[in-house]
Formats: sequence, C-alpha cells, structure tokens
Amino acid sequence: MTSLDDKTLQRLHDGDLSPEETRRAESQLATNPEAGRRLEALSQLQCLLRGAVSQDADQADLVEVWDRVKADLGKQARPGAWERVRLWLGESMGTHPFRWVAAGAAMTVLAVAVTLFAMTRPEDTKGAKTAVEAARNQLEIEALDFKGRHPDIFQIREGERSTTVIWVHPDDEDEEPEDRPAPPGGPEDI
Amino acid sequence: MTQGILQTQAWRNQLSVNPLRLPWYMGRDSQRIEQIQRGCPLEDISRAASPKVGPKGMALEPSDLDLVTRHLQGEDKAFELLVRRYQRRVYGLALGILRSREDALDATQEAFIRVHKNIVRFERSASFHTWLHRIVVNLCIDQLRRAGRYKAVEYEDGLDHTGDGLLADPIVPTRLGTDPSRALEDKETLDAIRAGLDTLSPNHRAVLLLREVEGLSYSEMAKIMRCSKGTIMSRLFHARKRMQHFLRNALNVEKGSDV
Repeated sequence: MTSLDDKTLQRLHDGDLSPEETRRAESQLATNPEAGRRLEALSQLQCLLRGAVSQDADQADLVEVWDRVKADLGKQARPGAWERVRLWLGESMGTHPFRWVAAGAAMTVLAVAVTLFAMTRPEDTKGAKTAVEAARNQLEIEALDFKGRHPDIFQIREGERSTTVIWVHPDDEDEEPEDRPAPPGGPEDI
Repeated sequence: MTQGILQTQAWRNQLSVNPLRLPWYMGRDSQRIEQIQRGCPLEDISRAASPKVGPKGMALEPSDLDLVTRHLQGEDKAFELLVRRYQRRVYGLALGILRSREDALDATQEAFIRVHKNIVRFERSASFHTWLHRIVVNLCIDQLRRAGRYKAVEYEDGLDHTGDGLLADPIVPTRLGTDPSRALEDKETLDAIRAGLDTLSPNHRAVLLLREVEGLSYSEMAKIMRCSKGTIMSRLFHARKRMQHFLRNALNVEKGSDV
C-alpha cells in the first residue's frame, strides 16, 4: 500500500494537482482503499455543504434585492466635487508617482485664479454700476425754446465725463463788453 | 479502483439525474442540467453563473465584462443584470459567513452598492466574480468585527497536518444511503451542517464556502483572503477536518446507530 497524505488528497479533490501529479495520485488510490474512503468523505462534505447552502438560499426572498439596491443608489447624491476630482485623477493619471504633486499644483493655480478674480471683480461691478446710473440719470431733451435768443452750446470734457453747457445771451446785449460778468444762475448743466 | 472512489462516483451520478434537486447556483434550466449530467456537479460551479453559450459557441448572454463596460457607458440596465446574475451566490456566501438571514440580506445589498461605487476601479484583466467575492468576504468579516462576533482563526495557519487527519469514514449515516440529496432531506442533517458551520471561525467558514460552494481555486481564494496559497490550504484542511468530526459526532456517534 502506498501512502497518500491528506494534503495531496485535498489537492486532488480540489483539482490543484498537475496532470502528472493527478495520474500518480490516482494510481496510488487504486492500491489504497483507506485513502479512497478519505477522498469519498471529502466529496460527501462538499455535497452536503452545497446542498445546505442551496436550501438556505432558496428560502430567501431575493426578488427585492435589486429594488433595494436601486433605491439606495438613488438616495446617494451625485459624487462630491472632491470625489469627482479624485476619480478623474485616478482615471487620467493612474498610479503616476507625482499625481498628487500635479493635483496640488493644479489646485494652487486654481486658488490663485479665484483670488485674482475676486480682487478684480468688485471694480468691474462698480464701473458697470456707474454706467447704469449715468444712463438712468440721463435726460432726454426733445426741444429747447430760447424765445428768439441765440444760445451758445459747448461741451467741457473732464476725462471720461463731459458737461454740455448752453449759454443764452440776453436780448439787449447785441455787443458783449470785454469784461462781461457771469450771467445770473451760471451755466446750465444738462 | 477502490470502493471509495466507486461510491464517490455513484454520488455524483445520483446527483446528476435529479434535476429538481440541483443546487441553487446551477439554476434549473436545461443547459445547467446538461452541465450536471456531464458529471461536473462538484466542480467548476464558480463559472455556473457565466453567460450562456449557444450551440456554435456564440454567447447568448453578455459576459460580466460586457455588462461592466455597458454600465460604465451609462446603460442602467447592465448593472441590474449583474445584480440579478449574482444575487443568489452573494447571498449564499454572505449567509454562510454571517449565519444570519437578515444580516446576509443587508450584506448582499451593501455588496452591490459597493460594487456600483467602486466599479470604475475594477481592473478589466481580473475576474469580476473574484472581485465581487472579495468585496462580499471583506464586508462580512467587517460586519462581524463591528458586531463583536469576529474571532480569529483558532488553528495554526501553518502547513503542519499532523494529529487527527481527514476522516476515512463516511460522515453521513448509512440509513440515509449514499444519495446526498436524500441526506439533505433529513432535517437533522441540515441542522447539523448549520451548527457545524457555526463552530468555525469566520475565516474558516469563508474559505470552506469559497472552495466547496463557489468552487474557487486556491489562487483565487488567496487573492480574496489576501494571504498565501499555503495558508488557504491549511485553513481549508482544518475547516474540513473540523466539519467532518462535528458531523460525524452529530449524526453518527451521538445516535450510536447507523455507521
């Protein structure tokens, strides 16, 4: 009778032996009834376990598993920004050793960009606000009646802004004196 | 040829001609019945949930990888198909490790949610079912740890197989004959199997179920359990030995009759 140890029997039972080892083990089994009984006991245990687990699983109501999974997945919010960045990094950079350095640099650039944007934005807003207010305050003149007098109209520019001046001459002043005083009320700003 | 080998073959033959008693993972369709009738009910069941193949080798169902790809491309139905394909196996494994129906159902649900969440990280070169099993086993072990029900492996993980070895006697009472399906009709036998599983550590239960029920190879189990192949073999040996002795005591010796 040749010996066939438990380890070899187990590997034979589990299909882990090479074809050559299997052939050798089977030839040993032919002359070793005790090893054959051990092998049979292994098969019995396997069948009993499979059958028992099978019966237990048959008793479970698994119809709702998918519905429960679906409901739970539906509850879960979309992945957060950080998770999406991480996944994106994982997909695009894989296991690159410097991926986190690159990610940090990208985040720094992003932070600087956001800061600069925040610093410049209020001025732009202020400028736009001024323009809107100017448009709102602008008067629309349909007609001016000078009662037969002759006005002088000119503009005074002050940087981006300008002031329109309408100078109306009195009737009796056909000829202006050299040192003529300023008219009462001053120029009319429009 | 020894009598033992002949009896083992007889077991396989008897199981193969009884399609109504097929294990759950085999299903009850004609293709899987054929698979059993070819004499492989005890092997290769890890592929039992593989897509059906037509007469000319054409796939009748999408493969796991196809479904993963379609899911990632935005097809919602693809993930549902994956869940439905694997839900029984996942539940069976979770129940075997956790020993609680409610916990097993929760673990099944949570496992698929984790799969959904991490599927972008799934490596296409790997096997989907091995990856799924790893998630399930980790989930169950974590759940047992949180519940304070986890106990470390109580046997040496070394390869020393000295001392009591595997049994050379049948573990099923002879009154039940050699038909495993008949033995499983016996409530006492079923209860003894469940009680026997309860006596094992979670790691031993996991390794026993991954091998005996799911049909995974040592290498696949080593990946899932994150240990060496030798450790897997040792754990499997001890788990089997313990189950055999427990069943023999529960079914034969205590009754003092049948064998």
